[in-house]
Amino acid sequence: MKKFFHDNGLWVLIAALLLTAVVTMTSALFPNMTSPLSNVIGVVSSPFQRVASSFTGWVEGVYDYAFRYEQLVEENEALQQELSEVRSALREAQDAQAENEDLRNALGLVEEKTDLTLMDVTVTEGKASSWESTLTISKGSNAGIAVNDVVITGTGYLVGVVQEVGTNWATLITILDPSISVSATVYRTGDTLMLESDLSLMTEGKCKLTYLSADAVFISGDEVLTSGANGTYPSGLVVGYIESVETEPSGLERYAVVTPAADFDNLSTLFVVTDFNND
Amino acid sequence: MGRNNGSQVKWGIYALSYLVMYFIKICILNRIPIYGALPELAPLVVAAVGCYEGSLGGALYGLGVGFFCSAVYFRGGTMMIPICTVTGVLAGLTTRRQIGKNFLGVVLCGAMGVLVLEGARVFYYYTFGGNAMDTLLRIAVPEGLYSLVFVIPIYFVYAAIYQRYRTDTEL
Repeated sequence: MKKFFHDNGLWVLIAALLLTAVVTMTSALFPNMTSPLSNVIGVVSSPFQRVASSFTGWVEGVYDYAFRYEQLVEENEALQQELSEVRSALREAQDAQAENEDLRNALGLVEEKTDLTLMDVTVTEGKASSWESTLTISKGSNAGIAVNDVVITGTGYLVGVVQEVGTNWATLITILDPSISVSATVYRTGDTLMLESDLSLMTEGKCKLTYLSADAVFISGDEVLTSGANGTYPSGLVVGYIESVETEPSGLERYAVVTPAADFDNLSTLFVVTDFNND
Repeated sequence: MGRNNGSQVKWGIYALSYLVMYFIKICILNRIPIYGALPELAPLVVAAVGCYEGSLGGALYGLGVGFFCSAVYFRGGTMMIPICTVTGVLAGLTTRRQIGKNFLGVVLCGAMGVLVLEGARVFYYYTFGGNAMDTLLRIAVPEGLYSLVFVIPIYFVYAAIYQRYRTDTEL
């Protein structure tokens, strides 16, 4: 019997199960701890990933130039048209802002604003597994990045939240990941809900707002922002737009499907919010 | 080179080759998703080593690879410890049924390793995550098939290592 166990490696299998139990318990006790081995691998692989990332970007650039030139020209024209409209809207907004400030001063109101301290980072690795939506970025604890820091695009769209930090790298879960949980507000109605996701929505590149009240009425295109509730995350960051309202398979609860504002297929430079003020 | 030294070098090369595979995965393969799926090389590598080195060698190598995965994977890596060990044991058993130590053996064991991994993931997410089976299969099937493509280069790498550092001493 002993020989059978030895020859077939079954003792090793038992050791594996014990080791699994130990690792599981360690992970449960220290959920935010980055293992030393993980950190070393991250530190060593980070420069290679940056090179691979640059090379991939270069190849995509060449591909776009060779095969998508016409499309890019059309896109450029459309963006120029949009830019002129945005400039016009900006002029109107500046007038309105000046008027708003005058009125605030006249009434003695304190201005509400969110100040963000940003740090630019590069995406060095896309998702690491088919079962999660994560990104690895090029800076870590040595640059002051910490767990729960929010990550946004250059246009201010929410991308995700930092979950694991190494010396010169960090891993974030995106808003598509099934484990995401962020308090969000529907701008038009003011409803505050939880932004979550699941595997099914993740594969479609979407997330959802849960805990909809019975009388909540949303329309397609409603803008979803971070609420900043309980002060963990900054408020007013654009999450995405409501696409539809669906009913859970149980038939008891409804949820709103949200299309993220950020384009997750084309992320290269991001900004980590290392500090903010929700006053 | 003495038999023990030869054996140590061989196992060192096996360990190093997995590290190389891991770097190839995170630096190159993870940038090329197919239908949203990314390949998983660990069970294929363990299956190949199990085929050549027998149950005990496969189990120990699987334990090492599984532990490495549990340390470096962002989430869910803990499951890799028993999965890789079981894959190593099962792959080693095929050697005794005369279908190991060749291309067919490595392919069959690799397929079995991928099946064990995807089966465990589907079971986990179905039982504890409350996800629909069709959603899980939509992720698991492309991932499994995509992974299996790499059994061919892995076979050539590990067959070459085994032939070069062959010591005729199974653990």
